[in-house]
Amino acid sequence: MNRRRQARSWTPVLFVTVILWPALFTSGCATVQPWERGRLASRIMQPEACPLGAVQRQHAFSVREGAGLAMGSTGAGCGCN
Amino acid sequence: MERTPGAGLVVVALLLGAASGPGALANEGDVDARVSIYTDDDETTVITPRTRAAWSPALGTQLGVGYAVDLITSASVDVRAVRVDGVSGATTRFSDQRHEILLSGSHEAGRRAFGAEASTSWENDFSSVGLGGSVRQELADRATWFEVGGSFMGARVGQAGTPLPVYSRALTAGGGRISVGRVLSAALELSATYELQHAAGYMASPYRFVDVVVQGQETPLARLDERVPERRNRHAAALRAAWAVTSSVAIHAAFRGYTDDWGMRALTADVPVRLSLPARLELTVRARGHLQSGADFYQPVYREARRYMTVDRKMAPMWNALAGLELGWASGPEFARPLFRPFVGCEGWFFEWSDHPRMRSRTALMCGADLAVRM
Repeated sequence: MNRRRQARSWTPVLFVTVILWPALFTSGCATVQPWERGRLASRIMQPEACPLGAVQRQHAFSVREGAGLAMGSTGAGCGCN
Repeated sequence: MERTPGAGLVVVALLLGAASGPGALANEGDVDARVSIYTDDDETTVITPRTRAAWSPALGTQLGVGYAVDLITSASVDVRAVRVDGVSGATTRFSDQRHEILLSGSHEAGRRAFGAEASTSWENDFSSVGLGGSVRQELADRATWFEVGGSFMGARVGQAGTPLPVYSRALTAGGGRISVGRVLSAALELSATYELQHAAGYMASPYRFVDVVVQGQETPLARLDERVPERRNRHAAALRAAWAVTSSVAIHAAFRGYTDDWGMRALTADVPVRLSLPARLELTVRARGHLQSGADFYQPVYREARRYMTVDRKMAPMWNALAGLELGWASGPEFARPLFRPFVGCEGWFFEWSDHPRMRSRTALMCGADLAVRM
């Protein structure tokens, strides 16, 4: 029973995330021109400095946490968890 | 063995993102090699050499190939729990290897980009094949983009010592994701992603057993195979922000919510802060936290046999926190593709379970060294 109540309480969170948030930031904002985006194009604005390191890290998360979803890996990984 | 019906989508996303991000020029290529080491106080070590090569045969097109192997040795409490024979209490260390091959391709045509990937993974008791694809579209102002992606994985789950063709169980998973992103200002980008996945088949571990213990007795009444549902529907939504605080400091923040029909709920926050240092050095300082409920059917102790039973730590209520540093260097200036990009980093990772019978906490260290070379 508690689990069901808990599941329902998550629905608005996902709704806000999926629907409202994109609508909020895709409307009513002045377009930033390409020549204004120098800072956005810098290396440190890439979310991961090292792509292979990011792959490795996500694999570690997916085999050790229960919420991996598609952010997983094809293989099994460590067999001790 | 732990089975993750993830279809390699993160590998697809990250490698295709890396491939299509900078805009591939014709006849350019790069090779990236990395060695990672994971070790924890549960007597488990995983060493992973990983490499990737990418080449652009034409402007905007990139092809890639990658290989990775996990070299695992472990004598964790789970291994000990399986190997204990009830008489000697002997423990045994085991070793295993997992191999993975990835092929990827991407193509940019104007404001549209396509990506596709195929992967296969195998070890002595598991094999899988994954396919993935994505389409990304920028709107006319080039400040807003949408991306749709999907993946499929088919796997065979076997048991050590028995060849897969002789005995194996099937596991399939298919999923999709949709993302939208927006440049909000000259220093701020936001994006949101929704993902879903349906998995069907054998998702338990053939090595994990659940004791049924009658209250007041120490000796288990029975030791039964782990049993979990054969279907799982999973949903996740994530928000990401990248903020260039100054020309040399950027804060990236990602928040993710997860839910599935096994009763698992999770929240994850990941905040890497990236610094551009003198002499073309880069430093990434990362903090990450994860909090999850247990699956509905998870119990620390089973007093009677039930339809679904597990002692999997991934299915238990748990939180973990990770913190780390990564230092990199680029041989070329900003906005140019450097000839060499070495990285080295380490992360500490602490787990705590509130009611797992075999383990209350675990401390792990993950380190890696990486070198990317432009050809």
